[in-house]
Order: sequence, then C-alpha cells, then structure tokens
Amino acid sequence: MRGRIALATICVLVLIAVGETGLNAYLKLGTRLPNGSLATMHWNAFPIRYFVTNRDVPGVTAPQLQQAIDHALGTWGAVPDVSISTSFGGFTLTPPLTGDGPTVIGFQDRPELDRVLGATSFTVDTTNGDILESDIFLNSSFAWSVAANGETGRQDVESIVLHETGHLLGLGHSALGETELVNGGRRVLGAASIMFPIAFTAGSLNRVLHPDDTAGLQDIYGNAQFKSSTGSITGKITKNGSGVLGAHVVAFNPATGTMVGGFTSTDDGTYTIGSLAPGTYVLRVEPLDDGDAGSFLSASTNIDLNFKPTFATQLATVPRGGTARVVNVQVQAK
Amino acid sequence: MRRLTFFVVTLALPSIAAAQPHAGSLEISGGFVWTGGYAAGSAAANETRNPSTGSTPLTLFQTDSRVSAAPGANLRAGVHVTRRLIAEALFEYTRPRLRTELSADFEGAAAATADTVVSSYVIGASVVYELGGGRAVPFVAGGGGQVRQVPEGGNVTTGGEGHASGGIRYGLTRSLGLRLEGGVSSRSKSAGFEQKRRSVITANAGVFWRF
Repeated sequence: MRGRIALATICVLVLIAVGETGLNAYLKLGTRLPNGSLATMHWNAFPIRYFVTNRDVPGVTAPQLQQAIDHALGTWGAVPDVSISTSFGGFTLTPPLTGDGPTVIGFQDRPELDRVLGATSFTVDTTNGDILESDIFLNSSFAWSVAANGETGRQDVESIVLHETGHLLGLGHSALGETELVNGGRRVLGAASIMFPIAFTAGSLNRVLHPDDTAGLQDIYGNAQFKSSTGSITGKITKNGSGVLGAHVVAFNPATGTMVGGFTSTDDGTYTIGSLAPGTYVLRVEPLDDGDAGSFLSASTNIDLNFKPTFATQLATVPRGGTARVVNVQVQAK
Repeated sequence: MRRLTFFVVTLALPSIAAAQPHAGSLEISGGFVWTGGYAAGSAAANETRNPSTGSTPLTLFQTDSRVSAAPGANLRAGVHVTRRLIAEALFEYTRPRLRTELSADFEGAAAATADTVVSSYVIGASVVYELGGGRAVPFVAGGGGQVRQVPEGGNVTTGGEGHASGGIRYGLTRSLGLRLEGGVSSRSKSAGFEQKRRSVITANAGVFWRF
C-alpha cells in the first residue's frame, strides 16, 4: 500500500499541476494516475479529522486558531448540496509536516517565504486521487489577528484559513480577481473568490464564500441531485486559428450577479465551466495576468498571456443537467 | 388595369359577405404576429473590493440587455357562442432575440453585443365580442393562457399570460375574412434577466375562415 502512495507535497501557492482533462470552473487539484489520466483530488472518508499545533503566536493562541479553523470549515460545510464533515482531534506538539499521517494545521516560522502567508500540502493516493493527509501552515513571520472586526496591520486568521481549507478540500486557485503592481508586488483591488491566490491587505476581513468557491466545492463533493440540477458551458478559445492555453474564462449570470471562472487547459484551447445553475450567461475571456500564472496552472505549461480581454458574442444558456451550446471565442494579440 | 380589377372586386364584396354567423358557427384563423421588444435588465459583474483600495464593489464589466421585437405566427380555432360572441383557442409562436450589451470593462475589453434566440410560445384561450354587423366589424377580445419560453439550448420556462386586444374583422366572402388586431399581452415570465411580469405590445394580421 505504501508503495502506491506518492508523497505529493504540493505547495499550492506556488504550483498546481495542470492536466489534460477539463478543469471545471475555479480550479480543482488533480493527480496523475498510473494510466496517465488525471484524477480530482478529494477526500473519500468523513469526517476529516484534523489536529492543531499547540503553539501560540503574538495575538493568537492555539485555541483561538482552532476556533478560527472550526469557523472556516463550518463555512465550507454549509455549502448546499455537499456532505462534508470535519472533526477536531485535539492539540498536538507536531508541526504541520507532510507525510507523517495526521492532518495538522498550525503556525510555522518560515521567514524565507516573505510573500507566503500560508500553504497547504497533501499526501495523496495516486491510484485514485484520494487525499490521505493534508497539512496547513500559517507563516508566523507575519502578524496575525483573530479580532472579530480585523486589526490594522495584522492578517485575519479566519480569512486565510478559509482559503487554505479550500485547498485542503481539493480546490486550487481561482483567477477571479484584479490586481495592481505596487512596490514590486501585487496588491488585490477586488476578488470574487476566496480562492484567489493573493490576500486582501492586512487588517481586512474576507470570510464569505463566493459563487465561484461554492461551485468548486459542489463540483467535487456535490450529490446526485446537485449534478442533475446544474449544467456546464464548454468551447474553445483560439488566437490566429490556434488554441490558447491558460485563458481564464468567466461565466457571468446577469440575472443573479454570479460569476464562476474556468480555464483552458489543453493546447487546443478547450475550456469547461461546470456546476452552473441553469440560466443564461455572458462569457468573458482574459489572460492570467492578475497574478503569477504558475500559481494557477503548472509553470511548465506554455501559458499564453498575450491577448486582449474579450467578450463572447454569443450568450450561453445552461440547461438543467446538461451542457450549453458550444461557445467559441476568438481573441487577438495585445 | 390591375387597380381597376381590385376596385371591381371590392364593390362586389358587400353582397356576398352580408351573411351573418350564428351560434355554433366555427372559425379557424391564422396569420402573422408581431410582439414588441422590452428592456430585459441591467447588471454589473461585481467583485468584492479590497477594503484598502475603496469601499464600493469593483465592477469588472456592465451588462444592459434587451429583448428585440419579433415577428411570428399564430393560429386560432373558435366557435360562435352567439352571433357576436366567439370563444377561441390560441397558439402563437415568435422567436425574439435576447441581446446583451457588454461595456465598461475594467481591463479594457472592447464593448460587444452577445445574443441568443428565444423561442416563445403562447397557448391560451380568448373571448371575442363583435361590436357590430356588416362587412367591417370592430371587436374587442380578452383571455389568458400559458407562455413558454425556451432560450437556445436551455430549459423551458413557463408562466402565465393574459391579453386584451381590439381590432377589426373584415369579411371578404361569406366564409373568408381578414382580421387586424392590436393589443397588450401581460406575461408573468418572459425572456430576460429580470424575472418580473411584463406587458408586451402585440399586433397581428391574418385571415379567418368561417364554416
């Protein structure tokens, strides 16, 4: 059994593997199976039992961290039409180390990661994509807070844990956010997903899931009723007749104001956005230029960033339990 | 010469169209219908603003939608309850276009229009009351039924429909005549991005056959 388990330490803030099969909406984490196909990483046994490193940091005690984790997991657990559950196993002296068996969440000093607030890693059964263990560290080199309304200059623990526990459940990064370059880094102007890879400014709260987040979780853990009551949009993004790899495609429903994103994940520019409520959608295509493209898709892939944001000229109507008519979009170089 | 022929025919009509319908007379009619367009909602694709950069949502882009006026066809079958009162069943089909203007893109995407076709069916019943006799008979009508909308590739949306109209029926022969009608159709569900009751102007022109 052990030989079949790959200790796939995936630092999701840096690297997410891209597969050759469709990446529905948001981004799900995947692992390559021995037969070459890509399996969605997911938990197969519930409740997910987790431990919290018994270590206080300035402004946050271990019990306060556990309470924030409990709130964050409760937020994910409240997503409709999914049945996930978690249980707190207790405090541990063990730091969040990959491959040691238990799922541990805690603070770690990582001063060398001066732009990383936290990261999630996994041990995955590479024969089927089952997540066996997942560990989250929060970088105690930064200042943290659990204040109900946030604290100026300190990162809100629950906001960051909500993002990291999204990874723990199998979600990758979403590209639904806008940024600007400031002092050699990127500052978020706005986001429509908890899973956007760059956090709001310290002191801000970001504790509410967006439709893109819930669609992602429902895609992985949605029950049969959910699958039969939602649909998808698919098509190709091309430039000069060739497929565009790594294009971000956003489906916006003007009736509900919801946005759900997806990516082109193959060289022919095919995209699929799943877990969409039935209705009529506007599609917008943009390059992955609001963050390090490698934080969304594998850096080894040839992601095309040289094209203008473009609207589809066809509205896509998603049927219940089916796929909308194919919507292809031609983009032009900048 | 062509004009003269038409004149002669018109003069000849009154004598053969004078026959009046009676209770139990049946009619079928069909023709072209036109339904008016309407605003179908505006919306903004908003992201949550990073509080340190502002307090209002960040609008990625803006949408402004409209359902276009559309031609179509209708078919009716009726029976004279009395000489002036007709009960009729109605089927109407149109294919309006839902157009969405996309603008004000945060990252400068060129403004564009996206659209799709919606198949719209009305199945209902009306009561028609003729306001006089003779060759040209004004009438008023009212009724209700069900409206079914099917966006291209999507699911059927069903709603209630009520309509009121008025027009003129013009007898060409003992059995055959023209029907011109204008009115308003109120629909609980309609194509678009705002689910609210809408009133749609309708007009139709067709022929009826009485037997």
